[in-house]
Amino acid sequence: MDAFESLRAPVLPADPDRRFVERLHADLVAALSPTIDLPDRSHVMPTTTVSDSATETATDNAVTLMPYLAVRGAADAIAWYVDVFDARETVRYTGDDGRIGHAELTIGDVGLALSDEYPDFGAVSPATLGGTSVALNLTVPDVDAVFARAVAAGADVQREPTDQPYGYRAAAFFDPWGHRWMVSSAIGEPTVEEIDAAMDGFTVTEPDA
Amino acid sequence: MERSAGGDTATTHGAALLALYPTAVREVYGYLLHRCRQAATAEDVTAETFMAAVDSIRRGAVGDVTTAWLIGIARHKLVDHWRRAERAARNLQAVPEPTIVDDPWEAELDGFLARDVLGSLGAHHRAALTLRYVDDLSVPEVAAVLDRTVHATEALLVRARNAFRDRYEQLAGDGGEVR
Repeated sequence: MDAFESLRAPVLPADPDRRFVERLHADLVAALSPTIDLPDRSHVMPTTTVSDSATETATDNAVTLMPYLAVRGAADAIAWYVDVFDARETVRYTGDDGRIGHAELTIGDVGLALSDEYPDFGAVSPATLGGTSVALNLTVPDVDAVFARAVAAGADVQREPTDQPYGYRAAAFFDPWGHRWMVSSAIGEPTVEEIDAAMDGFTVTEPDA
Repeated sequence: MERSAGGDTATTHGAALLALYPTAVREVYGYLLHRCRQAATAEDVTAETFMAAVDSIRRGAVGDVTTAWLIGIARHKLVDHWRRAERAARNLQAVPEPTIVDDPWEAELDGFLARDVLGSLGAHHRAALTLRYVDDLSVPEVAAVLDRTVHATEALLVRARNAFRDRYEQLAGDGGEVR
């Protein structure tokens, strides 16, 4: 056998540094998305700082998870979330084509991001999908008040506010853009045994608590 | 990949590239890392590869967005990288061309030593041998990547094999220490 044949090596995957992977991904998205015109953030950022927004905590390398919604009609949805959830809009990227490429809201202390639909980048909304697989579980001080505002603003009710054995008064509805919200307020702190006893049809455990 | 009738092929391919990215970046990086053996270089060339892919997509010069297509781009970018490195090093060393003889070499190569030898060769020899033997491309395929004629590539491969063999036998005799 020719000695050189032993040099042959298949293409084996290897794991690059995670930060490199993320940086290159961001570069690719930027290079592929001429429609999103990134404005100077200082002109868009409100003067009020949001100390615990996902953007800021990310610089501390904390683990964060923020829902990122695709909405057909993001501007109207933002107005709705401001009205119903008392959200504050902290940043908005408006594309040259009028679509909102990125916006961030805070509801209480939590962050929420959304954009208009960008099907090319996988950002498709419930209106396109004909449903949604992810619910947004929002806890608020007064679920009944939020529920009333949501209904008044056109939410599609799935469940009226009801006291639940797991210690929450919970409601569920679809917003006008098809996202499903589970809104609840704490009403007690039952033990897992109490929850287990009360939940017919379920065995409740805390595997890794 | 399917293209929607009348759809914008560039945007469809852009979305396909992003969808492919999580797996493809590991394949492209792995391909490069095992050939250039430096993480920093592998990262640089991986980034060049994907940005070149974006350029091709925006110019509409893409058939299918696949990992194989990206590896092909990576191959070109790696050769470009070696050429740049050689230009930078050209003033530092003058490598005499060995005489051209091409007799079969029947030897069991030590894998680690062989990699070291490959890495110690000049860029044109390293590129030719990597493409021909590590990647197992045909001579015409190597010629296409190197942008040379088949005849010139055959001659280059003969010289590269000789350079490799000289270096390998020298190092194997020295106990395997490169430099």
